[in-house]
Amino acid sequence: MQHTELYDRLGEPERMRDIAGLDLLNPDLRTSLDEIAERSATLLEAPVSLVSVVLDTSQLILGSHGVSGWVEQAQGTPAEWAMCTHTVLAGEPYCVIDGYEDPKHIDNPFLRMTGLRSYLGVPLLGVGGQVIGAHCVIDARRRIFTDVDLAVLTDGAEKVMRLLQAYPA
Amino acid sequence: MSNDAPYGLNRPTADDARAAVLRVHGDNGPQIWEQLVRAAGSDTSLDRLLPAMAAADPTTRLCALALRIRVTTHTELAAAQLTIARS
Repeated sequence: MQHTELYDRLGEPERMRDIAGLDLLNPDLRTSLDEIAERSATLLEAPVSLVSVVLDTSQLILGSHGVSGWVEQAQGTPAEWAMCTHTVLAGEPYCVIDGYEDPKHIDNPFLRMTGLRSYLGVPLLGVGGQVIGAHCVIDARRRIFTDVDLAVLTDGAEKVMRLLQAYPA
Repeated sequence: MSNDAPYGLNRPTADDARAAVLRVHGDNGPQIWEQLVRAAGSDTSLDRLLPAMAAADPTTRLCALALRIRVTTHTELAAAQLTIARS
Protein backbone atom coordinates (compact mmCIF):
# COMPACT_ATOMS: atom_id res chain seq x y z
CA MET A 1 0.00 0.00 0.00
CA GLN A 2 1.29 3.44 -0.87
CA HIS A 3 -0.14 6.90 -0.30
CA THR A 4 1.27 6.87 3.23
CA GLU A 5 1.09 10.64 3.64
CA LEU A 6 -2.62 10.65 2.80
CA TYR A 7 -3.34 7.84 5.27
CA ASP A 8 -1.38 9.65 7.97
CA ARG A 9 -3.46 12.79 7.47
CA LEU A 10 -6.74 10.91 7.47
CA GLY A 11 -5.69 8.66 10.35
CA GLU A 12 -4.86 11.41 12.84
CA PRO A 13 -5.74 9.93 16.26
CA GLU A 14 -8.06 12.77 17.31
CA ARG A 15 -10.03 12.55 14.06
CA MET A 16 -10.33 8.76 14.24
CA ARG A 17 -11.53 8.99 17.86
CA ASP A 18 -14.22 11.43 16.76
CA ILE A 19 -15.45 8.89 14.19
CA ALA A 20 -15.13 6.00 16.66
CA GLY A 21 -17.53 7.76 19.00
CA LEU A 22 -20.41 7.05 16.62
CA ASP A 23 -22.53 3.90 16.23
CA LEU A 24 -21.84 3.76 12.50
CA LEU A 25 -23.18 0.26 11.90
CA ASN A 26 -26.58 0.85 13.51
CA PRO A 27 -29.20 -0.37 10.98
CA ASP A 28 -31.71 2.35 11.88
CA LEU A 29 -29.06 5.01 11.32
CA ARG A 30 -28.15 3.45 7.97
CA THR A 31 -31.79 3.45 6.84
CA SER A 32 -32.21 7.11 7.76
CA LEU A 33 -28.99 8.05 5.96
CA ASP A 34 -30.13 6.15 2.84
CA GLU A 35 -33.27 8.28 2.89
CA ILE A 36 -31.26 11.50 3.08
CA ALA A 37 -29.07 10.34 0.20
CA GLU A 38 -32.14 9.47 -1.87
CA ARG A 39 -33.67 12.88 -1.14
CA SER A 40 -30.51 14.74 -2.18
CA ALA A 41 -30.19 12.67 -5.36
CA THR A 42 -33.80 13.36 -6.25
CA LEU A 43 -33.70 17.09 -5.53
CA LEU A 44 -30.43 17.55 -7.41
CA GLU A 45 -31.39 15.15 -10.21
CA ALA A 46 -28.19 13.18 -9.74
CA PRO A 47 -27.85 9.40 -10.21
CA VAL A 48 -25.68 8.90 -7.13
CA SER A 49 -25.61 10.38 -3.63
CA LEU A 50 -23.50 9.26 -0.69
CA VAL A 51 -23.19 9.83 3.03
CA SER A 52 -19.80 8.59 4.11
CA VAL A 53 -17.00 8.83 6.62
CA VAL A 54 -13.44 8.76 5.37
CA LEU A 55 -11.37 6.44 7.54
CA ASP A 56 -7.57 6.24 7.46
CA THR A 57 -7.32 4.10 4.32
CA SER A 58 -10.89 3.82 2.99
CA GLN A 59 -14.13 5.68 2.52
CA LEU A 60 -16.93 3.92 4.42
CA ILE A 61 -20.35 4.49 2.87
CA LEU A 62 -23.02 4.86 5.56
CA GLY A 63 -25.96 5.85 3.39
CA SER A 64 -26.36 5.82 -0.37
CA HIS A 65 -28.53 6.10 -3.43
CA GLY A 66 -27.62 4.72 -6.85
CA VAL A 67 -24.59 2.70 -5.79
CA SER A 68 -23.95 -0.67 -7.42
CA GLY A 69 -21.23 -3.15 -8.40
CA TRP A 70 -17.96 -3.35 -6.52
CA VAL A 71 -18.62 -0.13 -4.59
CA GLU A 72 -21.83 -1.61 -3.21
CA GLN A 73 -20.10 -4.91 -2.40
CA ALA A 74 -17.28 -3.17 -0.55
CA GLN A 75 -19.54 -0.52 1.00
CA GLY A 76 -16.80 1.94 0.25
CA THR A 77 -13.73 2.73 -1.80
CA PRO A 78 -10.01 3.08 -1.16
CA ALA A 79 -9.40 6.52 0.33
CA GLU A 80 -7.12 7.56 -2.51
CA TRP A 81 -9.96 6.97 -5.03
CA ALA A 82 -12.73 8.59 -2.98
CA MET A 83 -13.93 11.97 -4.19
CA CYS A 84 -15.07 12.67 -0.63
CA THR A 85 -11.47 12.47 0.56
CA HIS A 86 -10.93 15.81 -1.19
CA THR A 87 -13.91 17.33 0.63
CA VAL A 88 -12.62 16.07 3.97
CA LEU A 89 -9.12 17.40 3.38
CA ALA A 90 -10.45 20.74 2.12
CA GLY A 91 -12.83 21.08 5.07
CA GLU A 92 -15.25 22.98 2.84
CA PRO A 93 -17.55 22.24 -0.12
CA TYR A 94 -15.66 20.61 -2.97
CA CYS A 95 -16.77 20.59 -6.59
CA VAL A 96 -15.56 18.82 -9.73
CA ILE A 97 -17.22 19.96 -12.96
CA ASP A 98 -15.70 17.27 -15.16
CA GLY A 99 -13.41 14.66 -13.69
CA TYR A 100 -12.44 13.45 -17.17
CA GLU A 101 -10.83 16.82 -17.92
CA ASP A 102 -9.65 17.77 -14.43
CA PRO A 103 -5.94 16.87 -14.07
CA LYS A 104 -6.49 16.07 -10.39
CA HIS A 105 -9.06 13.39 -11.19
CA ILE A 106 -8.49 12.28 -14.76
CA ASP A 107 -6.69 9.09 -13.67
CA ASN A 108 -9.07 8.25 -10.81
CA PRO A 109 -10.09 4.58 -11.24
CA PHE A 110 -13.37 5.24 -9.38
CA LEU A 111 -14.53 7.69 -12.04
CA ARG A 112 -13.22 5.58 -14.92
CA MET A 113 -14.88 2.38 -13.72
CA THR A 114 -18.23 3.87 -12.70
CA GLY A 115 -18.65 6.29 -15.60
CA LEU A 116 -19.26 9.12 -13.15
CA ARG A 117 -17.59 12.46 -13.87
CA SER A 118 -18.90 15.41 -11.81
CA TYR A 119 -19.05 15.82 -8.04
CA LEU A 120 -20.32 18.13 -5.34
CA GLY A 121 -19.61 17.34 -1.69
CA VAL A 122 -19.99 19.13 1.62
CA PRO A 123 -18.08 18.18 4.77
CA LEU A 124 -19.57 16.47 7.82
CA LEU A 125 -18.33 17.56 11.24
CA GLY A 126 -18.07 15.14 14.14
CA VAL A 127 -19.08 15.83 17.71
CA GLY A 128 -15.48 16.77 18.48
CA GLY A 129 -15.34 19.27 15.62
CA GLN A 130 -13.27 17.12 13.27
CA VAL A 131 -14.16 16.79 9.58
CA ILE A 132 -15.16 13.14 9.57
CA GLY A 133 -16.78 12.64 6.18
CA ALA A 134 -18.95 14.13 3.47
CA HIS A 135 -22.40 14.19 1.94
CA CYS A 136 -22.24 14.33 -1.84
CA VAL A 137 -23.90 13.89 -5.19
CA ILE A 138 -22.08 12.47 -8.20
CA ASP A 139 -23.29 12.80 -11.78
CA ALA A 140 -22.50 10.92 -14.97
CA ARG A 141 -22.35 14.12 -17.03
CA ARG A 142 -20.26 17.25 -17.03
CA ARG A 143 -22.06 19.53 -14.63
CA ILE A 144 -21.72 23.02 -13.24
CA PHE A 145 -23.37 22.90 -9.82
CA THR A 146 -25.32 25.96 -8.68
CA ASP A 147 -25.62 27.77 -5.36
CA VAL A 148 -29.06 26.20 -5.02
CA ASP A 149 -27.50 22.73 -5.45
CA LEU A 150 -25.02 23.57 -2.72
CA ALA A 151 -27.76 24.84 -0.42
CA VAL A 152 -29.76 21.62 -0.88
CA LEU A 153 -26.73 19.47 -0.17
CA THR A 154 -25.75 21.59 2.84
CA ASP A 155 -29.26 21.12 4.23
CA GLY A 156 -28.88 17.37 3.77
CA ALA A 157 -25.50 17.42 5.51
CA GLU A 158 -27.00 19.26 8.50
CA LYS A 159 -29.65 16.54 8.75
CA VAL A 160 -26.91 13.90 8.59
CA MET A 161 -24.91 15.52 11.38
CA ARG A 162 -27.96 15.76 13.64
CA LEU A 163 -28.66 12.08 13.00
CA LEU A 164 -25.07 11.02 13.68
CA GLN A 165 -25.10 12.88 16.99
CA ALA A 166 -28.20 10.90 17.95
CA TYR A 167 -26.27 7.62 17.53
CA PRO A 168 -23.30 7.67 19.91
CA ALA A 169 -21.26 4.48 20.23
CA MET B 1 -2.67 -4.22 -15.83
CA SER B 2 -1.90 -6.95 -13.30
CA ASN B 3 -4.61 -9.10 -11.72
CA ASP B 4 -2.53 -8.92 -8.54
CA ALA B 5 -2.97 -5.16 -8.44
CA PRO B 6 -6.05 -4.13 -10.42
CA TYR B 7 -5.93 -0.41 -11.14
CA GLY B 8 -2.78 -0.29 -9.03
CA LEU B 9 -4.60 -1.52 -5.93
CA ASN B 10 -2.64 -4.07 -3.90
CA ARG B 11 -4.35 -6.46 -1.49
CA PRO B 12 -3.65 -5.22 2.05
CA THR B 13 -1.18 -7.19 4.15
CA ALA B 14 -0.40 -7.64 7.83
CA ASP B 15 2.20 -4.88 7.44
CA ASP B 16 -0.57 -2.52 6.35
CA ALA B 17 -2.61 -3.49 9.41
CA ARG B 18 0.37 -2.78 11.65
CA ALA B 19 0.93 0.60 9.98
CA ALA B 20 -2.74 1.48 10.51
CA VAL B 21 -2.70 0.59 14.20
CA LEU B 22 0.50 2.57 14.81
CA ARG B 23 -0.93 5.52 12.85
CA VAL B 24 -4.24 5.89 14.66
CA HIS B 25 -3.04 5.14 18.19
CA GLY B 26 0.03 7.33 18.37
CA ASP B 27 2.21 6.48 21.37
CA ASN B 28 -0.06 3.59 22.42
CA GLY B 29 0.23 1.96 19.00
CA PRO B 30 3.07 -0.50 19.68
CA GLN B 31 1.38 -1.83 22.84
CA ILE B 32 -1.97 -2.26 21.08
CA TRP B 33 -0.30 -3.97 18.14
CA GLU B 34 1.39 -6.46 20.47
CA GLN B 35 -2.00 -7.27 22.01
CA LEU B 36 -3.49 -7.85 18.56
CA VAL B 37 -0.65 -10.13 17.54
CA ARG B 38 -1.12 -12.18 20.72
CA ALA B 39 -4.88 -12.37 20.05
CA ALA B 40 -4.28 -13.52 16.49
CA GLY B 41 -2.11 -16.44 17.71
CA SER B 42 0.73 -18.00 15.79
CA ASP B 43 -0.69 -17.06 12.38
CA THR B 44 -0.33 -13.30 11.96
CA SER B 45 -1.71 -13.13 8.43
CA LEU B 46 -4.16 -10.35 7.67
CA ASP B 47 -7.00 -12.88 7.64
CA ARG B 48 -6.25 -13.74 11.29
CA LEU B 49 -5.53 -10.17 12.33
CA LEU B 50 -8.74 -8.65 11.00
CA PRO B 51 -11.06 -10.54 13.41
CA ALA B 52 -8.78 -9.60 16.30
CA MET B 53 -8.89 -5.96 15.19
CA ALA B 54 -12.67 -6.08 14.80
CA ALA B 55 -12.96 -7.26 18.42
CA ALA B 56 -10.62 -4.61 19.80
CA ASP B 57 -11.19 -0.97 20.82
CA PRO B 58 -13.44 1.28 18.67
CA THR B 59 -10.59 3.02 16.83
CA THR B 60 -8.90 -0.25 15.92
CA ARG B 61 -12.26 -1.52 14.69
CA LEU B 62 -12.37 1.38 12.25
CA CYS B 63 -8.97 0.34 10.89
CA ALA B 64 -10.34 -3.17 10.39
CA LEU B 65 -13.37 -1.78 8.55
CA ALA B 66 -11.13 0.28 6.29
CA LEU B 67 -8.90 -2.70 5.51
CA ARG B 68 -11.91 -4.92 4.78
CA ILE B 69 -13.16 -2.37 2.25
CA ARG B 70 -9.80 -2.53 0.53
CA VAL B 71 -9.76 -6.34 0.61
CA THR B 72 -13.26 -6.55 -0.89
CA THR B 73 -12.48 -3.93 -3.52
CA HIS B 74 -9.34 -5.82 -4.50
CA THR B 75 -11.17 -9.15 -4.64
CA GLU B 76 -14.03 -7.78 -6.74
CA LEU B 77 -11.81 -5.95 -9.23
CA ALA B 78 -9.33 -8.81 -9.57
CA ALA B 79 -12.21 -11.20 -10.31
CA ALA B 80 -13.68 -8.81 -12.86
CA GLN B 81 -10.34 -8.51 -14.64
CA LEU B 82 -9.96 -12.26 -14.71
CA THR B 83 -13.39 -12.56 -16.31
CA ILE B 84 -12.48 -9.98 -18.95
CA ALA B 85 -9.15 -11.70 -19.64
CA ARG B 86 -10.86 -15.08 -20.19
CA SER B 87 -13.59 -13.75 -22.48
